[in-house]
Amino acid sequence: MFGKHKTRSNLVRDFVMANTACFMIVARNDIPIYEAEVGSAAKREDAAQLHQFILHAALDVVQDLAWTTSAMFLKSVDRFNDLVVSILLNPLYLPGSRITSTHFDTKIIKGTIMVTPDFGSKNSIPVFLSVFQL
Amino acid sequence: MVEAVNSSLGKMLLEEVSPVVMVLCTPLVEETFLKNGLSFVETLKPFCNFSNIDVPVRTSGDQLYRLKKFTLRLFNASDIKQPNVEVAKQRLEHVITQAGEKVFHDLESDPPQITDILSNPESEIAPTWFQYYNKELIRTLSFSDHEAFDHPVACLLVASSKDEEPLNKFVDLFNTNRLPSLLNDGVMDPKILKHFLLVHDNQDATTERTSKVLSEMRSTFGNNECNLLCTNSSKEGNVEHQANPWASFKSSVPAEKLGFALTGDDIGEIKDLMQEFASRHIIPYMEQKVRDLNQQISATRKGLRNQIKNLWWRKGKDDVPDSTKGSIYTFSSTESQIRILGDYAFMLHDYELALSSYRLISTDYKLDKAWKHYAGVQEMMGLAYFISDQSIKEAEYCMENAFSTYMKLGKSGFQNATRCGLWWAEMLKARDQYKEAASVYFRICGEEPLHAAVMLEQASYCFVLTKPAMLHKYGFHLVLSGDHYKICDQVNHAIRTYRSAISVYESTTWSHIKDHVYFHIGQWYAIVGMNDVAVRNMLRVLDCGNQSKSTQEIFLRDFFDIVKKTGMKHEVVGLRLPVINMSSLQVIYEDHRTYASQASALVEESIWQSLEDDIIPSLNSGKSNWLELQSKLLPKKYKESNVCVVGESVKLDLEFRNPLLISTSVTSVSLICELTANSDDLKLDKEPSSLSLETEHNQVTTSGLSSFTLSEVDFTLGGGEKKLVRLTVTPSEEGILKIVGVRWELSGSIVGVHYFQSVPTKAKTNKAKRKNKLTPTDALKFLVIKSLPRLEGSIDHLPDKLYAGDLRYLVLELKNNSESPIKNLKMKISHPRFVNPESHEEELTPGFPDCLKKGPEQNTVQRETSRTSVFAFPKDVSLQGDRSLRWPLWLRAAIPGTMSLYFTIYYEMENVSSIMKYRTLRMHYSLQVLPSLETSFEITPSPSRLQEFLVRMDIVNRANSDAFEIHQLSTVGCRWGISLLQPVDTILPSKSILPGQGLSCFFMIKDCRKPGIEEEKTTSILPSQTDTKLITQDDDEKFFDIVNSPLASFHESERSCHGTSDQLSPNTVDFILISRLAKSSNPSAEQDLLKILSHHSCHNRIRSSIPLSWSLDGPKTMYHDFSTSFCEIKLKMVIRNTSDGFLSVSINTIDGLPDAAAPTPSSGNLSGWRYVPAITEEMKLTSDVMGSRLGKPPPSMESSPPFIWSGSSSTKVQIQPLSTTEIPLQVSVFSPGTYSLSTYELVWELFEHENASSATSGTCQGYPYYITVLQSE
Repeated sequence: MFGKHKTRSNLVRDFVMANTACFMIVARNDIPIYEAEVGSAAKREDAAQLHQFILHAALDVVQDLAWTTSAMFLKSVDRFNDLVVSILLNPLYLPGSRITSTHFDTKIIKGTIMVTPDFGSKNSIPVFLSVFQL
Repeated sequence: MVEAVNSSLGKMLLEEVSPVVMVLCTPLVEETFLKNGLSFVETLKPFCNFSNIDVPVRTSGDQLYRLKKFTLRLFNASDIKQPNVEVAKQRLEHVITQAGEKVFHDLESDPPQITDILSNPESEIAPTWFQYYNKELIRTLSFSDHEAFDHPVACLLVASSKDEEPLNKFVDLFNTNRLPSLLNDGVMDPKILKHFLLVHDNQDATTERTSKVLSEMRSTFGNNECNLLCTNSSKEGNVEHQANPWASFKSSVPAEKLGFALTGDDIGEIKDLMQEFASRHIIPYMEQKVRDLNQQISATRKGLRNQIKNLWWRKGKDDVPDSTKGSIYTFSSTESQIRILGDYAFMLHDYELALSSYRLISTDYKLDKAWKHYAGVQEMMGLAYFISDQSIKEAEYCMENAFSTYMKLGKSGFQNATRCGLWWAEMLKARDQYKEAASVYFRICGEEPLHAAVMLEQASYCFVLTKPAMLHKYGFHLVLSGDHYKICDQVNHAIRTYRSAISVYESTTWSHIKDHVYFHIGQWYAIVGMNDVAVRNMLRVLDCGNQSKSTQEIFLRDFFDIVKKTGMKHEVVGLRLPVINMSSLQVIYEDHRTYASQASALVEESIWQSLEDDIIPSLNSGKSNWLELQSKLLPKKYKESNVCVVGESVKLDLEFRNPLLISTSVTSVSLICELTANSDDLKLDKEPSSLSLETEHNQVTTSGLSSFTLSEVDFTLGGGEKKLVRLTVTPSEEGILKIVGVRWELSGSIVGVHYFQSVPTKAKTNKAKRKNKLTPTDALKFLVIKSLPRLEGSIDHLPDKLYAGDLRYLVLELKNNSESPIKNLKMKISHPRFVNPESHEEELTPGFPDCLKKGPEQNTVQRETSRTSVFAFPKDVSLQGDRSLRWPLWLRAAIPGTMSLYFTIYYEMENVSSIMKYRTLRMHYSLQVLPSLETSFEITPSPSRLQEFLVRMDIVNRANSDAFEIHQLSTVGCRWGISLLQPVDTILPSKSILPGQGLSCFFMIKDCRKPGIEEEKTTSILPSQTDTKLITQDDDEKFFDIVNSPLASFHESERSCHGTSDQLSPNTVDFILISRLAKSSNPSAEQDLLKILSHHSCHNRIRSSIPLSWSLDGPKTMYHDFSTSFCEIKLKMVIRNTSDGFLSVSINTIDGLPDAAAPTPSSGNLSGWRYVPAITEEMKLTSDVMGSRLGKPPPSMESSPPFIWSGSSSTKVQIQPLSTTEIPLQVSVFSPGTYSLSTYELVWELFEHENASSATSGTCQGYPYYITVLQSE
């Protein structure tokens, strides 16, 4: 992507934060079951918004990739300007319920969350999505 | 995949990369054509596309091929220049604005559904104005200096026959001074094909002159180069064209006004003219030029030698630093010539030749670092590859190359990059590579927001077209595009894109996305003045609990601003602010059951039902009772609906929750109800349809005449707060009342409505059994019946916290506000142990607590003991109007703990015109009873006297803080007299028992019944003997009366509560301890001094392990003259059966030395001996004492001289339960002395009943009994 596009407009300029990342777990039917904004930058409303938009849009790519690649972790599947979307496919199956544990939050932020991929099936797609700045 | 030529890019190229004809015409020519509302160029334009020509062409090779399609572009000479950037920008903006105005009216409709979008044919997905916009965008780059396809191929010189000296005009027209600067400054070749046209206006020119001029022209310019065009043949100028050819070219003027003076012949003439011009002049001219150029270039550039020469020559030009600024290549330079060759070949559809020329020039430009030229050539190569259906890869590579080269040029190249991108994207689209096309669109967004918006929107449509459709991306790009539109104030377009995006995000749970989309589209609708649509969209974001507080504030502020702008109160069904918790819905209403308070209404129905069981008329009784009557009166349909009474409110509890962090004010919360008047039940039953006609909805009702009144509640919910709100509706007419929903106003500007359809409720229904059958709507439907009396009741000053044993005097106040009287009042109390109604209405004369004390006249009337749990008020009690009934009640906190007291009062209506004959009033109170004094009693038989018992009372104060004074201890009934063994003052000088303190006191009780006499014959002991004062405060203080109500009745309750299996045993003692709260130092507790506590201890058994007690009576000391005879002493043994069974006792006396093993029955053999009985007695009764007595008598006995038991007639007796028997005994003493007469034992057997075989048995040793016999003087 072309660097100079970064500041294409006010809107996009506002959107692009420094050192931000967003981590989400998405269950079937695109239902988000967990979301966490991580990163050193102060949390901004519009950043969260943009992150959601980007991750939501990336689901299209995920749907494609889920059937075409055998890799479970895809470092960069989609990008919007300098924001990169990574996905981790189907590491565990969580039917429906939202993750609300604060313990989980701290694990995510510390980056110690461990997931064991289940290579058996891809049809139950909880997807770990994260968007971070290059 | 369509054939490249027929793809939209192919068509576009045919149009855009086509020979340019420069038109030069005199003002009179323009004038002639302006009669039709068209300029000359405009008139000709529709006829420049030739789709069915057939022109043979031979370019480089020897091969002939045929051109089928061809296009000319006509430009006025004045337009042949690079367009002004600003003007071009404005034109583009104008295109967008115009398109925006067109869509304005569609904006009000509902957003499209995603399925509709997907099912649309490909061509309809993107709005049509995009093509137009793209074309305009490409045209902003026309006549650029690095390309040749915009160079005029030919020049059309036009003069009118009306012109003076037309031949001179023609010469003037091509005067170099008037030619476009591009031709003059060497960018374009000014030596082009010239064609001369004479225009003849049939309306006002003469044919003679025209033909004369034409012949002059022909002689001057050559026969072939001159043409005549006759026009405006219609004299009247009212020709209407079926399919107006100009309509699509000039949209600003109504189509029917265009070309009205041109007849079909005129048009045909124009057509022929143009076709001839193209096929006879332009194509051959180009053909010739291509051949010439090709030859020339082959000579100079082709072949190895030329190439090396060229390379060497170019190397020498290395020092030319920057070739981007200004053109270094004039039209006559070799490079330009090659480029012209390529472009001409392209225009003549000889793509092979075009490609080879481009390739040739491409390397040159690259070596020259003429990047713009290089990119332009690459671009053309890409297009040539594409259109000739050659390698897709090559095509894409070239486009990519061109694009990135343009981009490298920075700002100056961006426009070219855009054009390149557009073509590239079209190319990808033609190859079904929509995803890639989208990314190309994304790349050409640029910094200008309007431009970016259009490109993003085009990108979004590509995502729909990918297979499978990438709807997430579609939505995202639409949103991005919408944001850009908004930045350049293209609000209509912004709304349009967001509307489409909504179709993607409608059902999403991604909160930020949803809020963003709905909030912004709402805002924008407000900008364009569609406030109602704005409000509709903004409603979706009100439930934005996940947003930060400041965002929520913005959302709400904007929302209310817009609502204000609409100037009316919107009624919104399903408003999510506040959130209604439907599971909290609870309906409280009163039919025959009425409730004294909120708390009593919330008590579970089953509790009341079990309480009321025996006071309300039974359902199942065979008799024809009021209920059957009721069922007849009720229309069948409503038998299962709830009943409520006119004038009495139906209450509904509902929980409102604020999902936001900011506080929200909710006002005018009220129910939505319908009341259907049913003037005739039966009629209604038959014609349920009439129901809807009479329906009265409170939304419609204005005021005054409403058949019901509603309560309105206002409240403010803080951030995240929940509130349970009580709403009421009070019907004022009979009929069917339905509670439909609830409405509220939010910040005074918007009305929220929530309907209760199909919602499970916890409504209290008539019969618990039917509860399941009722549908939720039924639970909110009521049959309203005629106004009835309703009893109101309350208990004054019922404490909520008190000590166990606390005795209170309370008043139950009943009131019937209606004029019709009620009768037959009955009351039932859930805990008769706690509450005891007085039997008459009078107020207490001496006041509390003095009324409890014994009066001067001893009223010892025994209260009837047969107590029912139902208390019936006297028959003459009838309540009506203002009169209130004050009925005294006694409350005694029987046991510690938290207690719920339920009162239900049944009453009947005196005027029996209603279907409801009786009602019940339900009251509920809860008490917290704190532990206070705890007593325990131990009674042991007196060893000395058969009728006396020793009582030990242990008291512990379990209260936390208060001290108690014990006041009086009484035994219940007339059997036991009580006396204090030791004044308590001596044990307890402080007179009050402090918290935690324990105390033991000893009493003696005496059985005052005559022994041997059967039960229930009350002996007349003075009642005062049953009471004993424990702590004397002043001497006149009277005893508390425990014989009369209320203490006696409470004692009854206590007895029945403590009732165990052995309760029938009369050998028990009941005690009542009366105490009071000690004076505390706390002055505020002054009134506590009045508190009287009574502690009841029931069924205290006399402790004994054997079922019998006995005593031996006889003289202790006696004188006898042993010289005359031995002494015979008569003794009497009294044995009492203290058990419930039948007792058989045999007495074994043991004579002589205890060692002698002669435990034979006492009779016979020992007769003849006489003893003198003697002295003291001591009795020990406890069993362990007896145990130690087993075995040998004291050693002193062995040395004592013997005595013998002289025989008695019977030593085995049967004793009836609880009766006493006397057995005479006799001992004979032979010498003076002191003897112990404990040498006997009682062997007993106990039978459960008279003839029982099984028995328990035991043996008791005799008590020590000493007798002293002295020699008489």
